[in-house]
Amino acid sequence: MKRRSLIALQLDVIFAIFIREIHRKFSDYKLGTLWAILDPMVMVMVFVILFGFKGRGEFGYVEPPLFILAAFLPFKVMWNQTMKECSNANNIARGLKSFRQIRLFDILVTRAIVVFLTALTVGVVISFGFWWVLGIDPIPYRILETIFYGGTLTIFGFAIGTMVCMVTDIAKEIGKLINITTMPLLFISAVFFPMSAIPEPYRGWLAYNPLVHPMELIRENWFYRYESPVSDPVYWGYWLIGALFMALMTYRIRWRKVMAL
Amino acid sequence: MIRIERLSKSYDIKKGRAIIFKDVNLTIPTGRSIAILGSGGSGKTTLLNLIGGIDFPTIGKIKTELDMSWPISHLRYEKSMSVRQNIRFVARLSGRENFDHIEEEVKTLSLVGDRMSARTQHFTVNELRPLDMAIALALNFDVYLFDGAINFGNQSNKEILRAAFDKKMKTSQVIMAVDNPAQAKEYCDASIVIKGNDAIYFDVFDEGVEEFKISNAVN
Repeated sequence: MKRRSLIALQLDVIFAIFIREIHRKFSDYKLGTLWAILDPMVMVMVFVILFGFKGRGEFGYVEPPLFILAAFLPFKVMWNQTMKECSNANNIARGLKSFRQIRLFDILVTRAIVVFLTALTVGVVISFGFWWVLGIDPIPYRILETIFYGGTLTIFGFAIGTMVCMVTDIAKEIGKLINITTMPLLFISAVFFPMSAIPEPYRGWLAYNPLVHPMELIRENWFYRYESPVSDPVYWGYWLIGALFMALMTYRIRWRKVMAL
Repeated sequence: MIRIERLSKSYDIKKGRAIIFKDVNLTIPTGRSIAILGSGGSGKTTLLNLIGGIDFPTIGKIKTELDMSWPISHLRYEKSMSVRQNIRFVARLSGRENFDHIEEEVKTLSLVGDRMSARTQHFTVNELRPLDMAIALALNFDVYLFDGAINFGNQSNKEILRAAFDKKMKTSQVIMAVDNPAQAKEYCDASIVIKGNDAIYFDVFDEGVEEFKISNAVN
């Protein structure tokens, strides 16, 4: 056997876990692994149909379906799904314990990467649908920045999810508690509405919520004519680095304990 | 060579900590097959898992350049994946690239035959256990780990499997954790005896067995 470089080993491990995961999750369905893409796509489409076609023209700068896509895809998939997937990564860790190449960290990283790539694919497919069916031009104004901020949301989801995963062995309730907070977060994270629609002083208060910033930054970079009154990449950056630091620290301290269960 | 340096291993239990190993230093030379001898609950499986890299020291390091198998017959198949996909999974993790060649070899060593594409959930445990060994042999490891006696199953091809294993032993080594030295005699030429919280290496298998018998008689 020839020796692999560390990066080649990591990629092999991630790919192997990815294949195993999509089989575990979807192989019982008729459409099989296609559900890996269909699952988030159907969810985002439901939101687009529920909220995007009510004929609300108040945005002015963007067609409603596109606004909903640019809000729900990052929030529900890139942030929320990454967080959830990472927070229960320890469930499958036990089944992979007998493979020396796999650590819990590989499972966490794999899940984050898979969710992000899935979200990108779903975004492209739905965007294409918008262009084809509705005649909307869905292409982000600054495409790389849009994807970049989507990526930061995934990293944030990975960080929070990892922290949750590392402490759920202390009390299972923590996972439950986190799930309960998802719903209110949806209302205060500038998902249904742009921050420009919120009057002061509430706008200032909501701006303390870190998740508002990537949502607004994505909007700014996706829509040519939208300019956010609050978006602050530096504030978001502090939160991101802080969360990632905390996540890696809790992981380092606790992974053996979590795996030992 | 496997070097165990300042190894300590303890578990959290309800009342405090259970110490399994304390400050163990060992060097296992390459090319010698080793039996880890210890009575039930002494930590022989823990030591095997530590060497195999699927359990982790509380303190200390285990250094090796050798390519190690999983504890044979402990492979966890993903039941929704086919035999072929499960083989590719471990092959990919182990850094093998010639999947076709490996699959062919597994076919000759097992009774999977043309059921390669069937999901593993349709196989019985008695079919999967020897398959484990067949996959490990096809992947060509430096070290084969066994938790308990080496079991070739009771299928019709067990002599083929045994012959292939014996041939592999000319170039590879085994490390097996057993509580009965007789189970290891056939393949092992050195031994590690677990004594209290320490593990002692014996370059001659029988010396280890003597030591094991003495420490067992004391208990």
